[in-house]
Amino acid sequence: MTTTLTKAAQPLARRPLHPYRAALATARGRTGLALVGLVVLAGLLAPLLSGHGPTDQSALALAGPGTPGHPLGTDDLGRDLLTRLLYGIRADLGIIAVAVPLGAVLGCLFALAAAAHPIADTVVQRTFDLILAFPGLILALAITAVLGPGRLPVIIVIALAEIPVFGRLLRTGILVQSGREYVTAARVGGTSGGRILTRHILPNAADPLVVQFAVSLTVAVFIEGAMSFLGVGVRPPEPTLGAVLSQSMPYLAQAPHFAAGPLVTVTALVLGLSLTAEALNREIRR
Amino acid sequence: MTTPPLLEVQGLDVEFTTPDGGALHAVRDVSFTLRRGETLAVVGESGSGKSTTALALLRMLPGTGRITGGSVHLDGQDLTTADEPALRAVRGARVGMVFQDPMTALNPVLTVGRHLDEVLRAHGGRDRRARRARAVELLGLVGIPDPERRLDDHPHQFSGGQRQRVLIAMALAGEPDILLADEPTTALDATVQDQILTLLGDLTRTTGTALVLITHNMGVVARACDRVLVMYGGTVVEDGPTAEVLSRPRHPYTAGLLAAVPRLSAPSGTRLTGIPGTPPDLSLPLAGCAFAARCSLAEDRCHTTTPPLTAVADTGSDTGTGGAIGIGIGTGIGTGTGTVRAACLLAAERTEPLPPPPPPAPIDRPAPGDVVLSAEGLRKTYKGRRRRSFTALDGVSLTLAAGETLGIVGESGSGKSTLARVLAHAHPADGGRILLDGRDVTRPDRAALHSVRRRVQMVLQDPYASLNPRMTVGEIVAEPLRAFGTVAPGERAERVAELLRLVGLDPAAADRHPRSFSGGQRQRVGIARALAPDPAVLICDEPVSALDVSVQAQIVGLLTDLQRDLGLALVFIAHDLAVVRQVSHRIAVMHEGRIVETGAADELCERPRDPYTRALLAAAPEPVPVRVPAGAVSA
Repeated sequence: MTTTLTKAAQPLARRPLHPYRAALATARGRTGLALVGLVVLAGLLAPLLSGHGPTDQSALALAGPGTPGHPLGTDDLGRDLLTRLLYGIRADLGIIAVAVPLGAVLGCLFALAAAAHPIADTVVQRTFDLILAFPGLILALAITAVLGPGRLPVIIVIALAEIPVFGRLLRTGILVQSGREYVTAARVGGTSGGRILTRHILPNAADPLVVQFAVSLTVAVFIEGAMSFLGVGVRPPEPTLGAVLSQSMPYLAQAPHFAAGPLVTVTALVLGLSLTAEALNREIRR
Repeated sequence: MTTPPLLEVQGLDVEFTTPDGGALHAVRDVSFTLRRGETLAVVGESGSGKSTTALALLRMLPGTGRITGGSVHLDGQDLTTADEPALRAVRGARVGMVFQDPMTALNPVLTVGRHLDEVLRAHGGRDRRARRARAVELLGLVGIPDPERRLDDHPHQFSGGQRQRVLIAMALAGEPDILLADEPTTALDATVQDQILTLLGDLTRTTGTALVLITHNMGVVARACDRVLVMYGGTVVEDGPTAEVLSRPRHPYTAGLLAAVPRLSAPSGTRLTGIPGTPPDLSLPLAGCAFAARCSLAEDRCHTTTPPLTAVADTGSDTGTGGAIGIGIGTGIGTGTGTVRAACLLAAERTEPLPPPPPPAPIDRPAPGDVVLSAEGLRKTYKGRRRRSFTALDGVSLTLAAGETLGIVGESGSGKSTLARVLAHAHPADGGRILLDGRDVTRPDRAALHSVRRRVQMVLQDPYASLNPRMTVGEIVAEPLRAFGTVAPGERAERVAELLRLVGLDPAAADRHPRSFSGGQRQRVGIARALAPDPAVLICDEPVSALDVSVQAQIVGLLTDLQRDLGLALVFIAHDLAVVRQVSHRIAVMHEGRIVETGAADELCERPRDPYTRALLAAAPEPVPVRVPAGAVSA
């Protein structure tokens, strides 16, 4: 038992990693990051990886995978599927990368406004209720009806959906943290209100937001896909993952490879983001 | 001594896995026995492994905890290898548990009757009416008046003490052989604690249930248990009859712990005795005695040889069990209740008990100067939801002179913390006046508030919650310096180092985060932060109540020294009258938002006038026996 344990040369408390880095260094975090990285890289390098334009048509329609010049085959209009997939990722990422941060920033700004005054709090809370009262797709259809299909409505829908999520989360965080003793200590210590907010409250309320950000990216992939699939997203012929999937539906029986590309990609992206979010969440909750 | 023990624990080891994969050895080689109807106290400070031991008995270890060695036999059945159904049959039915916090242990939406009913049903009560009759009986047993009617009340309709009684009733519902109570009175006020301990004592006598009482409070041990097991750093350091262990401790840790407990009889202006150093790091392998690093008697071999728990030679006590050295090393078999066993190499060889601690030494402290802070008729009410508002402060008046310590005592809800926050301008007062250096500062404007805060600083209760976990200690201490602009930015680091040295920390601590410090060290950081703007008044809101008793003395000593050196006026708030008496010049007793009695510390403790003060004094548990050498009481 313990008597046998003599002074083992134990690694003397090596400097612990930042929790986020520790989270991403776990198996779960690494797998997630690798999957996300793979998809993102494919999207970024789209022009280099494919020899065709995303809307270039050839005489070969619905060619199978392995066709010379078209490794994933072609679609019903003879467009190269690999190219459309890669450019689809690119379009998706472009939307998500704008929409989610936009929603997060706006949500946080609302939460900060809510923290400033009880009346502002009520106004913000009811606004959030209003947004949440609309089911996501109804909201999407309504906005598209006003603005017409395209990139902008998708961005707006995703951002709108994320605003209350981030807003509520940060508001809760601020309320919890401002009741903590160290905030009282800072107040008695003469620290100004602004500095208490930026130095004491926000850094301690930020953890759930980081996790939420990864979760929201996942949700955004879905929203974009669903909107394109329903034809209220990015205007064809520009490819997005949802649009390619939607287009493949009639041919599911004779050309399953048509749908395979976007399905696998969305799965990899969502899985990667979820794993990353979960890894962060586990580390933070400790 | 012929009956086999009810519970027999041998060589129990418990480990936890830390987040970074290391092992935390929370319990090491713990052995003890429990007989039917016996009351055993397991006493130790935080991290000593006392609660973990209790949870391990029923295999209810949280998180990554696991038993890595040893055995737990209940009436011959080994619980460490028992399967889950077998364990469920033991939990509740043979071993009942009472937990620390009665406020959260009851489901607020269920009536007390439903709580009891569920337990009874789990133990096979078929008939609804019989269960109800039994529930009434149980409530009556634990001393809830009018049990028939109270059965249909919800938990919020009961006071904290009554809720703990309900929990005890629930634990007794399965008619267990053993009642396992983990700090059952820690969350309760002293007067209520007294009632609960009496109840537990009566119950064990009338029902023949054995009691394992886990506590950090020596007074509770003395009050409630026949035998005591003292734990330190996950190991058992001493074990024996309570009266014997408390009056003639064999292990230096037990002796130190006893000496560190503040005595109500110790006069004002004497120094508390502490144990230097900090508790051991359980993630490191243990070689030798866990206490060796803090022990004043330690020799070289104490650091290398693990001392076995040995029966110590009887030193002329009346219990003649023939204390042969070497009885049952590491086992509890055949050890009578009369034998004291200690895990100390030196104690095993020594024949005479440890010398008694030195008498409390008076501190030379200068006489208080002019009045710096005074309050007149302070009022503060909190608006409740729907219901009536709650008056936390109701016409509180006090004065505080430079270099003086004003102790404020009261039970929870008496308004003492609110008073601290109002005086420190963390909350505004609703009525009355606060005078600082003769100027009215009750409702200061922005600039005035800034200057008031420079003069009046605060030390908060919880050293874990009062430091921002994201900032380094240096940044935390520099925060007021930055806010008040008293020190040029370039000289801040120097001032921070100076402050850290002042509170007895290494200036190198400035670069580290609060999480790498122990509770006592964190409280030092809190004090350094409060001292940063050179305040005249320091308001300490329960500065030691979250700390272990051996560390408490260090912090109280530090505050006293700082007062002497810096001429600070201190407001010292606590619920423990004994600590308050030792550190304070004057004491104010608070009850329901009012100051019911105020006077010189010794005067108030020896000749209390108000009935509430008397009740408070009577309820304070004293670890027996009280050792005050004649002549020491003069200050």
